[in-house]
Amino acid sequence: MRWPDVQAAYPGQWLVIEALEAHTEGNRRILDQITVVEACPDAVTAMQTYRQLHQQYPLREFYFVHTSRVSLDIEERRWVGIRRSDAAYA
Amino acid sequence: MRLTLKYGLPFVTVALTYRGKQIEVLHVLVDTGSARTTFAADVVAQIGLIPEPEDALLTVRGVGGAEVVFTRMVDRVQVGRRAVEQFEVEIGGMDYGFEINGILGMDFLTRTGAIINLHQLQLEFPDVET
Repeated sequence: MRWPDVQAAYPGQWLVIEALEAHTEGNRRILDQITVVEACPDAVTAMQTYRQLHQQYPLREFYFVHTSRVSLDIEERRWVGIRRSDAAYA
Repeated sequence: MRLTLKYGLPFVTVALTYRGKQIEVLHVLVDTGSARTTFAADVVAQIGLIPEPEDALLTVRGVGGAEVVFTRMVDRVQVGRRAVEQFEVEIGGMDYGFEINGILGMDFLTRTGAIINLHQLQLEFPDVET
């Protein structure tokens, strides 16, 4: 599905979606093919569901979104992450 | 503000105010390797900061995949006696597998002219008496 199709099928709804096909243009992430993974009762549930799925399937591309968004308009940023020592107190 | 070393990394406590409610956020990493300041969703939910339909979304991409976060303007971010009003922060799950509730990034550190004093383990600000 594309975003307008998702909006039409799930009006006024928090969702967790997955990008099946996506690409990056400059610093924008464009989702070309979307599937709806779960319809959620509220924002907090949507984000929690996203976090669980992201932990379980780290290589898949999930998002938490509300269908009232006009466009997905996702910014992409690079970050190499945190490199910590294994010792709790070093 | 005292820097506490944990996992070999420097952490501070940050006071965050959103829509008039304040929370002390413990275990915030001082990170010159992060452009933006981020807080953990579970912590900020305690003062009512949760996703809204029209929030700007970002995907933060790096080693080990990408994480989706949302951004929000907060009333105030304060470290010790140095505060910045009306500051945009990112909110994410921060499920990194160790105790971390936020990242104080270069946006806050440069705006305040922060001095990371690793000799005395202090995070200092030029216009605040210590």
